[in-house]
Amino acid sequence: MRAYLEICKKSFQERMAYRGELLIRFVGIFMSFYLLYMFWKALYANSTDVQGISFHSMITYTIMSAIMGGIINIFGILNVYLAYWMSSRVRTGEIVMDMMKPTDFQLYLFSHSFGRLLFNVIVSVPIFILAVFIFKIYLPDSLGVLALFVVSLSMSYLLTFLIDFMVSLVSFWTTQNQGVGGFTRLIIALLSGAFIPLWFFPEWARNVLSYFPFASIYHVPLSIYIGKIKSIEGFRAISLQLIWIGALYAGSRLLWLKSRRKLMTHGG
Amino acid sequence: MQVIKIEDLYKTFKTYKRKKGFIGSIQTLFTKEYITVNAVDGVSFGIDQGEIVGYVGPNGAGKSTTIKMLTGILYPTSGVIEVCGLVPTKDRKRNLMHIGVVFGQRTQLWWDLPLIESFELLKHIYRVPEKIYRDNIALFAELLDIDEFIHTPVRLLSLGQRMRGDIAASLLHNPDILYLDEPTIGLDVVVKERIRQFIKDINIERKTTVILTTHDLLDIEALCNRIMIIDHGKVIYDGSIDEIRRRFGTESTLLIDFKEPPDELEVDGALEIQLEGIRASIKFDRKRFTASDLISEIAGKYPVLDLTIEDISLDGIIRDVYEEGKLDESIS
Amino acid sequence: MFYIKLFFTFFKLNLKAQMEYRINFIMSIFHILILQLGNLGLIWVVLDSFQALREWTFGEIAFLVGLRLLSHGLFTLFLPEIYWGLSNYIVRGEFDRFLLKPVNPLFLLITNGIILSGITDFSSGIVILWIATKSLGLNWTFINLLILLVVVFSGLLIELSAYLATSSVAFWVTNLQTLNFITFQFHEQYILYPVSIYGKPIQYFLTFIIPFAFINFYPSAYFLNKPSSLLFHPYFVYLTPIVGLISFGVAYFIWKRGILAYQSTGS
Repeated sequence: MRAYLEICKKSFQERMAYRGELLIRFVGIFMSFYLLYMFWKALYANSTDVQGISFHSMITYTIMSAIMGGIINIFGILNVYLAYWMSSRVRTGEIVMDMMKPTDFQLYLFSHSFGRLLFNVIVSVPIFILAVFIFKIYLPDSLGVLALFVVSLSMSYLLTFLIDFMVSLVSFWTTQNQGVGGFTRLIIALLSGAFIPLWFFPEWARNVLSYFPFASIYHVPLSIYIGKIKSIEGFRAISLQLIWIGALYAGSRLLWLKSRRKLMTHGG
Repeated sequence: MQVIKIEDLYKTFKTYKRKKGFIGSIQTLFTKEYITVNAVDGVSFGIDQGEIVGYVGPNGAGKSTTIKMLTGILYPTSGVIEVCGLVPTKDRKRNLMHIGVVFGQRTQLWWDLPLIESFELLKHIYRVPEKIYRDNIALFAELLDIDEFIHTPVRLLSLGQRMRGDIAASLLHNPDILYLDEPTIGLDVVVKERIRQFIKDINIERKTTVILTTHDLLDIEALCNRIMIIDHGKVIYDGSIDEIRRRFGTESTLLIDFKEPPDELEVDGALEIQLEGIRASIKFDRKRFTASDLISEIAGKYPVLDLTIEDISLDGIIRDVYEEGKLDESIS
Repeated sequence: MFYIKLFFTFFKLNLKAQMEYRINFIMSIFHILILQLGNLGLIWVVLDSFQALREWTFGEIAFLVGLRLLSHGLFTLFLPEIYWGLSNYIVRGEFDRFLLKPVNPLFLLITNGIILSGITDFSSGIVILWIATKSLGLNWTFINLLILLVVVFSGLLIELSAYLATSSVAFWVTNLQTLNFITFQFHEQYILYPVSIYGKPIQYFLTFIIPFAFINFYPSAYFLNKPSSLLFHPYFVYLTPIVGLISFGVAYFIWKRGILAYQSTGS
């Protein structure tokens, strides 16, 4: 346990080294916020309520989505995907060093990613506060909603990590897998409700998407935050998130065992 | 015939204190806290056609600043530079047409492509006539064996092969002057010797003037009939290598490990003795003593475990020339 | 003539070098296709509920997006070094190499690399423009196609100039590389939608300072005949080629001054 804490601390400190870039990142982030704001404002120019959602809720949804992206997109900053990291480790052979450590490899990577998560959370606090003042995004209705949101957000983070982890294992077969990593990110961005909430999607598309874990990543926590999903429904959505985590965790362990065998028999 | 003429050349850099980070860089835009550095501080010399000149000095002495001004990359602060009658910064393109440049640490070749592709491109850039191009490729194949790897992508070449490729590339257009910046750095002895021989051949055959910066004394001894030492932006020696060898290159260092640390060490004929634990470094003058004299003297008095003799390095000579400052009058 | 021949020699070499990384290229084709069409799909989804984005329908926005992709595809294919390379070369002290050949340094920089996936950007631009044409029932006359060609090349010139100017800042201040990132965001995100949805300062900025609005917004207004959406002056719809030339003039001037500064400081 101690070892994992240390790894977590290290990766947090590693991120701190880049804090000089923060200001420019803030500029970039607020440029995106402004764009989102003006985009939805133009859409809502002629209507006050669309699909039961007011302009105010919509802005809160979309800006919270961007903030959330900054938090759980752990390896996403500057396009450094976990997949990219892994493929370079496999190519240089350093991966063997990682695996020789007396730690569980997946937990080792998780601790690494968790350190980054902490950093991202801290950075997001001032962004959130500024967004509340500038774009008038609102706070959750009650402490209960807030608690539910935090739980759901944690689930989203676990899901992203598991997906990233599985994608990065592709590098045990081919080192040119950055493409795969970026591709997965893109699909998540398009289909998870990160940009456009899923309730705008046509019926058939929503039916198809219900067989995939995408909605559990962005759509669920954000809907809980703005109050679109309430109480019992919220618990049901979170249970679904949990089921997806279980499934992906099992899948990732299986894939990991196979990958390790591949590396040990063929030497990467 | 003089191909390079430099008179009273100065290059002063004004740098300002850079602050870190985004805010810092905004601040530096508006504050004017200058530090001036005289990178080249009143240099004058001329180089005749067909000379091979070693241009040496410690890092940051002003070597590469001079080379950059000669190639037209940098403007001089004041003074005169003429290369084959042209002012490099004013006639940048024409000047570049008759010089060749090799930076040992960087390649001008296309990383992912076979060597021959880079040559073809350079042929177009320098408008080399087909016949001259073919003759040159044949010549480089003969003298540098580039035909062995000319169809291999550059990223797969060994350092020595890459360097041979780079030097060949810089000579494709038959330049009058060749600037070589550390052409043998990191190479093994055989390849180094090969490259030296090639430079010599080209120099004799084509009367190509060569200006060479290096940290390797053997490069200088093998190639240069003239050496210029620059330090702190000033030329502190300009003359033959033999002269400098005679006056400074005679100091050697003997490194000895004793079985047990001696309390004190006295050696007749030593210029300087440093003792640290069981290890001693003893400087002596080779003109007055041989190493074996010294060794037998020491071994007679103390129990010796191991010993090595270090010949003086080029950097050492430069340091000596600079420290003594006695050669001021010999600057021509 | 010398430069045209040299340009194609460089292009051939770049192509061969890129072919060394075939898998990445094939992957990027899929990535870009899904990215561009997926984004358009999202706009379609939204406009299905909202009908219009400040008087711009789905087809019209598709036109806007497609027009941007045409010039951007050419930029990515031929000139990626302006965006990705220049400030890095300067900061790492590797800019010397562009001054060591008897050829115009800007030419050397431009020909120093290509990104093949620009072809995919360009093709998806054509597909999206075709979708717009279908959705709006446009008729392409010969004259309009000719004007489209001029607009695409002017757009290329505007994009080139914007990145050349922002990258050139590195000649004076080396740690402001991130300026490119801001220019990038305007070009990559803001002009995907009609500029008229933004506040006045941004409209001014994208018209007069970094004139990205002339890449697609004003020309689209011309092709689609949208007088009600016009900003500033109705004649602005015709100005794209002139703006392209002027911005290139300004950017080239900054670049030239930058090289001069580099030649006197060497860092």
